[in-house]
Amino acid sequence: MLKYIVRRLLLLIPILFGLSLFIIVFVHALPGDPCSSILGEHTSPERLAACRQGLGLDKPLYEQYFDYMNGLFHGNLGTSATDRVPVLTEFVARFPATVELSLAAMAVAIGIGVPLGIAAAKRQGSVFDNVATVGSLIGISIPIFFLGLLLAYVFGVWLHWLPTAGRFNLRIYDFSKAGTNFLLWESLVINRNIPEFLDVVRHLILPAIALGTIPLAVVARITRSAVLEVLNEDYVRTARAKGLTNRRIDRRHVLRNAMLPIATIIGLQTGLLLGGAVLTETIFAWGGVGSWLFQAAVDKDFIVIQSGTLILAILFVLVNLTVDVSYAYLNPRIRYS
Amino acid sequence: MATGNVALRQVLEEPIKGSSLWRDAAHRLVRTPSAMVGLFLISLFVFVAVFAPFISPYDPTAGSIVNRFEPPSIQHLLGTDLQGRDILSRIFWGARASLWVSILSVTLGLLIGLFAGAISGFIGGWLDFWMMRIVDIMLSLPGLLLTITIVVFLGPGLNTIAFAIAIENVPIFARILRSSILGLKESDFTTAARSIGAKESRILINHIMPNALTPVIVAATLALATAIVDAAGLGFLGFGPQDPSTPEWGTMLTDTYRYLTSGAGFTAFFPGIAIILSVLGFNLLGDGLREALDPRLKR
Amino acid sequence: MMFEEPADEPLLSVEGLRVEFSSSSGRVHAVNSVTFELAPHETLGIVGESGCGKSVTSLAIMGLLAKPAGKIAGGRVIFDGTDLVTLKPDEMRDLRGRDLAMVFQDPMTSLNPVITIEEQLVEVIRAHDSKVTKAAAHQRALELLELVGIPNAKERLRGFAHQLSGGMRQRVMIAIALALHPKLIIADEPTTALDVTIQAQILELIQRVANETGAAVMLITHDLGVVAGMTQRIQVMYAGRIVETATTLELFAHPRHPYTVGLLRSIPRLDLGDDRALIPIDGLPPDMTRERVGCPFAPRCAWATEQCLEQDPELAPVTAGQRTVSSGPGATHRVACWNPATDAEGAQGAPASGHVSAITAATADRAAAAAALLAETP
Repeated sequence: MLKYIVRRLLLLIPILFGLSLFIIVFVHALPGDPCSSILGEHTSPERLAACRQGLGLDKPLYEQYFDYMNGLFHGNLGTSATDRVPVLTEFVARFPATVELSLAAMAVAIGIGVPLGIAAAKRQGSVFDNVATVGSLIGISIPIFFLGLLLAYVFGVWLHWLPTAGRFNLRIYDFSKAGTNFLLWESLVINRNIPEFLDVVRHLILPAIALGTIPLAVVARITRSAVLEVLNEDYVRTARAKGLTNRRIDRRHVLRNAMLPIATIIGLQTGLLLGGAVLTETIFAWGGVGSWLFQAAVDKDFIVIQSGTLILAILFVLVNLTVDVSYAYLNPRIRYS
Repeated sequence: MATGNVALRQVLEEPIKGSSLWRDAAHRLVRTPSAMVGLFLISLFVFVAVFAPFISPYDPTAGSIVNRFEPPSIQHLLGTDLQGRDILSRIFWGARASLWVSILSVTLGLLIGLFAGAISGFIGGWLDFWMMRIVDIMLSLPGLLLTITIVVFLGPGLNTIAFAIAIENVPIFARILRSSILGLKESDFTTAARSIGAKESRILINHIMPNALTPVIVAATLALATAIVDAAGLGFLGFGPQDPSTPEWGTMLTDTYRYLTSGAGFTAFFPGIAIILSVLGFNLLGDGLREALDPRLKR
Repeated sequence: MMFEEPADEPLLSVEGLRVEFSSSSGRVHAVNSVTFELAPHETLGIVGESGCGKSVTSLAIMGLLAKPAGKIAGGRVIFDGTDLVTLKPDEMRDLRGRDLAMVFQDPMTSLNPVITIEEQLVEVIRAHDSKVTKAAAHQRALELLELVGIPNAKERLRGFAHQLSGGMRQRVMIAIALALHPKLIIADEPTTALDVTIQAQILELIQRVANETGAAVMLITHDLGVVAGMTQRIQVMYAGRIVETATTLELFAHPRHPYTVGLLRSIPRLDLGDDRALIPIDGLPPDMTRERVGCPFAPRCAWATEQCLEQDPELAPVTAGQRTVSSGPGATHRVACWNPATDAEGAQGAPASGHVSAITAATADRAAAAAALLAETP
C-alpha cells in the first residue's frame, strides 16, 4: 500500500513538467500581453518594450520556461504584473477561503446526496424515487450563477435571513489572534468565540449551497445507480439467503460495495470544485482563489494565470490520487495486488 | 389454415424477431417518458430560436425608458427590463445565441476530438500515449477558468465563447471515442467478424464505428447542455456579445439583477428559467439516450 | 445409492405453486401449478433447460423472488409443517440460512468481494443466534472450512473471495450453507460455472456433507449427467411445469415424456456403450408471456397429435401396461403427456414409424397454402 502511494507520488513529477509546459505554451499562444493592459492602449513603444523586458517577456519562450521552472523549484511562483504581489503570498492568503467553501459545499453534497440516493434506490419506481430523480436532474441543470443569485435574492435581499457577501462580519470577527485565514477553525478553536463562529457559518451557508448543489445532484444520482446495481448482485442474494437482517445486508453488503463508485465520484467532484468556485466566489464576494484568478484573467496577468492554474491542476491531481488511494483501501482486489 | 388451431397458429405465425441496435434503442427511447419530456423541451427551445423573428411580440431591442421594469401584463407577458424592452421577446431572441453557441461549440469539439480520439485509438503506440497525456493534462486544468482566459484574450462575443467551450470539449470526446474503440477492437464480435474473413476497413465501418459512437452521442448531448450553461455563465460575467442589440440569457440576467432592489423584481429571473428548461431538456434526453443505447442497462 | 425408509411426513411439500413475474413486455407465468414432495434426507434432482422455472421454484421456496417483479400467485409451500407462503417476513428470514440453505450457480459473484471470508461465515452463524461469541463463531467457521476441504483454512479465513479459485469459492458457499445444520439444502446449478474436473469434486462434496449432516438436497440442473449419479429421484420441468417424475433409475431406463427422451438423447451415454448420434431438441421453449392452449411442448414434439395442441395434459401415473418401477418415497412414475413414448421409441429417440406429427402436418398445410397464394399472384 505504501509502495503504491510512493509510486503514484513519483509519477507526479513528469505530470508537473508536462503541466507547466502545456500551460506556458497555452498562455503564450494567446494574443495580447499584460503590458498593454497595464499601460493602456495609448502608450509609447519604448515604455511597452521596457515593461516587456522587466517581465522577461522579450526572451524566447524556452528561456522563459527555463526561468519559470527554475523559480518554481526555488519556491518562486512569480509576481503579479498588476499589483506586484508575489503569487505564492496571495495564494496562501486566499486558499483557506476556497478550502472552507469547497469543504462546506462537499459536506452539503455528501450529507444530502448519499442518503437521498440510497433512499431513492430502496424505493425504486416510487413517487419519492421519481421526485428525487427529477429533482437531481434539475439540480444538475441549474447554472451556479443563477442559483447563487436566486439564493442571495430570496434569503438575503428578500427575507434578510443570511448575509450574501464576504466571509465574516467586521464588527464581530476578532482578528487579534488571527493568521491562518481558516475562519471556521480559528473562531472555534483559537478564539473560542461561539457568536463569531456562528457568524462565519452564516456567511458560509448560501455560497456552500450554491456551489454544492451540482455535486449534490451528481452524488445522489451515482449513489442511486450504484445501490441499485449492488442490490442486483448475486452476493446480496446470498446475504438474503443467509437470513441476515435487512439492516445488516444494507450496511455490510450493499453500502460497503456501493461506496466504491460513490467515493470515486466524490473525489472527482471535489477536484472540479477547486476550479469551479470562480462563479460562486464572484457572486458572494468571497475572497478566495477563484475570484482572484478570475480577476487575473480579466487583467491578462500572465504569471498569475500561469501559476494559479498550475497550482489548481496539481491540487486536482492530488485529490485524484487521494481518491485512488481510498479506492484501493476500500477494494481488497486492489489492496492485495 | 385447415386445422384452425390456436396454439399452432401462434407457433407458425411467430414473427422472426430481427432487430438492429438502433431500432431497439429508438424503441426504448420512445418508451422513456423523461427522454420524451427532454425531446419536447429541446424542440421548444429550437423552435423558439429559429422562429424568434416571427413569434416575438416586440422588437427585442426597442423600448422606452419610461416603461422600464413593468411587471408581467397582457401587453408584456413577462414584463419589461431596465430599458423598457419586452423580456419575452428578448428571451426568444436569446435562445438563438444559446443555440448557436451550443451547436457551434459541440460541432467544433466533435470535429477535433473525434479526429484525435480516432487516430489515437486506431494507431495506438507512442502517438496514443502522448495524446492521452495531453488529454490528461487538459482535463486536470480548471475548465471554466481556461474558458474565461481564452475568451479574455480572444475578445468577448458568441463565436469566441463557442470556440473556448469547444476547446474544453475536445479532450472529453477524444478520450471517450478512444476508449470505446480500444474496447471494441478486442471485443468478441470484432474477432468473430475477422475470423470469417471480413476486411479490416469493413470491420471498422460496419462494426467498430457505430458501436464506438454510441457513448459519443450521449456525451455530445450532455455537452450541449453544458455549453448552454457555460455560455450563459460567460455572458453573466460580462463576456457575452458586446453589441447590446443581441440578447443573450446570461447577460440579461446580470443586467437586470443589479436593479433587483430598485424595481426590477422577480422578472429578473425569467432568463434563468429559460436556461434551466433548455439545459434540462438536453440532460433528460442525454440520460434517456444513455439508457436506450446501452443494452446492458435494459431491465 | 442408498435409500432411506420413506418417512410419514414429507419435509417439504409444494402444492400447486404458481409464480408470476411482471415485466415491461407482459406478465410471465414462470411456474404453473407445480406440486411435489421431498422426504427428509432425500436427494431430489430438478432438471430442465434455462427458463423452465426450476430456479424460480427454488427461489420461491426460499422466499427470495426478486421483488417487486416476482410474486407467488398461488399454492402452498409446506416446510416442516409450516406454510412458508403465509409466513411473516421476519420468521421467513430466520428460517433462511438456518433450516433452509442455498448454494448458488456462480461462485465468482455469489461471495461479497469486499469483506473477508471469515466475516461472511461468521455473520450467518451469529445472525440466527446472537448469543454465540465471536470466538466460538470463529472456531465454527474454521471447522466448516476444514469440513468442505479447504486447505490452509486459518489463512483463508482472513482472505477475500478474489484470492480463491472458482472451485474453492463454491466450497466456501457450501460451508456457508452448512453453517447451521440446515434440514434442506437447495443447490441451484452448483457446478455449471466450474471446470469439468472440479464439477465432480463439488458434487461429491455436496453428497458427502448431505450424508454426514442428514440434510435433504434439492439439486437443480440443466444437465441430466449431473443428477444421474447422486439423486434418488428426478423431476423434469418444462415451461414452468413438471412434465415427468420418477426415480432416477426408472427415468433413465424408461423415459416416457418426449421431452425427457429428447434430453436423454442429447447427452452422451457411456453406460449404454453404444455410439448413437446425439440428437438435439429442435426449436425453442415457448414465450411464457402468452396464454397457451394445449401441451407447452407440443410445438417441438415429434409425437404431437391434434389432442396435444388442444388440451393440456395433467401429471398422471404412467398408464397400465407400461412397465413402471416404484421405489423410494413418492416415486411412482408420473408423466404429463397424451401420447407418451414407449420403451422402444424412447431408445430410438423418435416416434415409431407411421406416426405423422401434427406439427409436421400443419407445416405442410401452411406450405401448401403459401404455394397456392403464390400461384394466384401474377
